[in-house]
Amino acid sequence: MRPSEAADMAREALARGEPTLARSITERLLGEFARYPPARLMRALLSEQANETDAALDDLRAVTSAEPTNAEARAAQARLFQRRGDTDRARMAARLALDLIPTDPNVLGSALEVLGVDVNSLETSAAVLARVHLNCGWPDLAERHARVAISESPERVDVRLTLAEALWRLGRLPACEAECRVVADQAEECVRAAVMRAHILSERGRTAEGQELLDRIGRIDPEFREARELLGALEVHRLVLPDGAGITLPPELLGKYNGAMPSADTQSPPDETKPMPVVADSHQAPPVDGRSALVEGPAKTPVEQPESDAGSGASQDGDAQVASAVAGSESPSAAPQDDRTDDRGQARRLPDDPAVSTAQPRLADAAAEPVSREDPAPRAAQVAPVDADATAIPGPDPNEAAPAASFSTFDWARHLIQQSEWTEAERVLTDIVTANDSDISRVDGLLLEAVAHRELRRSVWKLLGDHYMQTGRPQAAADAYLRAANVAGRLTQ
Amino acid sequence: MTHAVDLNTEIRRLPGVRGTTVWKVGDIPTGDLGGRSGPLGPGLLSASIGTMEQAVETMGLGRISEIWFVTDDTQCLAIRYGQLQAVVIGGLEMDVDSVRDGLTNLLAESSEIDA
Repeated sequence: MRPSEAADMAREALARGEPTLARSITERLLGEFARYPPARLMRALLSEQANETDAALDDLRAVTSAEPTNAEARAAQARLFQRRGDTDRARMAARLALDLIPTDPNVLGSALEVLGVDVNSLETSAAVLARVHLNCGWPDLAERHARVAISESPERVDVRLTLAEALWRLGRLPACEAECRVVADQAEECVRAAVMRAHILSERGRTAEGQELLDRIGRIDPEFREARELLGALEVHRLVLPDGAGITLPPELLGKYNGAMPSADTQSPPDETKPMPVVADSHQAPPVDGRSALVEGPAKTPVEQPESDAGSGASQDGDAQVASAVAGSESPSAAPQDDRTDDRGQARRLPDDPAVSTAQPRLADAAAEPVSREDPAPRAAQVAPVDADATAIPGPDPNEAAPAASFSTFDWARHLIQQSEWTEAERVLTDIVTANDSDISRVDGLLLEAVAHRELRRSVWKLLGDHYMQTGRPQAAADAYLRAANVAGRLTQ
Repeated sequence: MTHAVDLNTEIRRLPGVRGTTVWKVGDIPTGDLGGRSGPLGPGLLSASIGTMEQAVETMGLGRISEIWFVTDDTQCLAIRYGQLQAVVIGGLEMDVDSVRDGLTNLLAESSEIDA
């Protein structure tokens, strides 16, 4: 089943007053996908219920790093801060939750309760207007209001993300990239910013790097939900959405879950839809349009799944099923989402891409073949290590998650240096220095690492000089500039 | 940045000035020293002057508000005005007194805009 289905099960178990079952499902989910935000949110809610405030806040910090616009997480933070007596932060978090326009009445009610105000007394802020306009498909207006909101609260990462998305939708990719970097520096695991950056990289002709970044997103968002949502809005793009990973819950957990489901004759009104029990493999539910060929068998590992799914889909039902395979969902209840995925989830290529013009591969092949002409590695080979990492996680400890899943500008600069992408690395390092990060030693460390590379030496010594000047160290700056000049060998020309 | 660029442009209009560097405390020095030392020149000169300021302050001699020096073919004038600092260079014919007045006025105006 999909991770989101398992998370929904855990949520439902908690709502029914079965925290032990909810925790078991959540831990199982986190064992497979240690950084999956819905699972961490669930664990935070469970910790909140168990009065483990610190643990809950730790998880919520991770959730808001991956999803800075998650209103439910912000509302939970508000409740926890209030419980700890930190009224200021509680009110701030509650205000943030409201600015994110929560659709869940419980989240709305919870945030209003912390603020102690009535819904009618809420003021409309620039941040709210920015989100409303973005949601309505008016990115230009969203940008205007987001800029106003940022001038009022430059530290608001959610507003930065809104601005970045507005710029992205307007096609102003360099400006969007700069905002994404700011977002990533505050929220290192922000999936949405990472998706936009992956797309921007691919638009610059760095498709392989963009694809790699997109693949890394799978460690946090195994279903690539946000990637589908964002990339689905584009008519064409060069990225291939990786297959969504699945999870198999043990039969005893499913048994408990199904056994605890309220029976229709005792709890549900006769005319209400009866809840559908979850079977050991939700994909074994009645097939729709022959989709049973794509089901994920209980014995399959997540590593095996993408290839076999794509292959079987291609051989039996063609393009429509491949789109489903990419979406990683075949359950009838998810049919509407699958339909959407048909439009958004499939890999698209530009007409002038040789991969299209020469071979015109079927969509099925597109999902399993090399990413682009820049990246000759087979698609499956790229996906496998990511999934292998996920399956290699021995226990449910989320703190063991690989650091490579972080999308901060600093990590990105290091990555580029490792890849010997000197020009791009220099550009990113320049952005970092220009941004004047408050963590001085972190910038020092990165630049000193970079200056060890001969290709970067001259430019990075100058950047070090600039950085030292920014941070009030003129003597060190003079030394760095002199070194840069010596490397250049033309100081007195 | 645009502000610094504008200020550099204004300072370059002062009579006899061949190159300028401007920076605000906490910013990167920007400017052009008339092609001398390429892009490293502004940073190197301002960092060197900053080092001298720091040394003088460490010695308890107070804060330098102005430095002037002359070489065999160049005059250099550095002025601090609040958070803003500017360094100008010119030939031996540059009238340092008038440049000092003009520069001080420009920095004062710029500081007011910042405020």
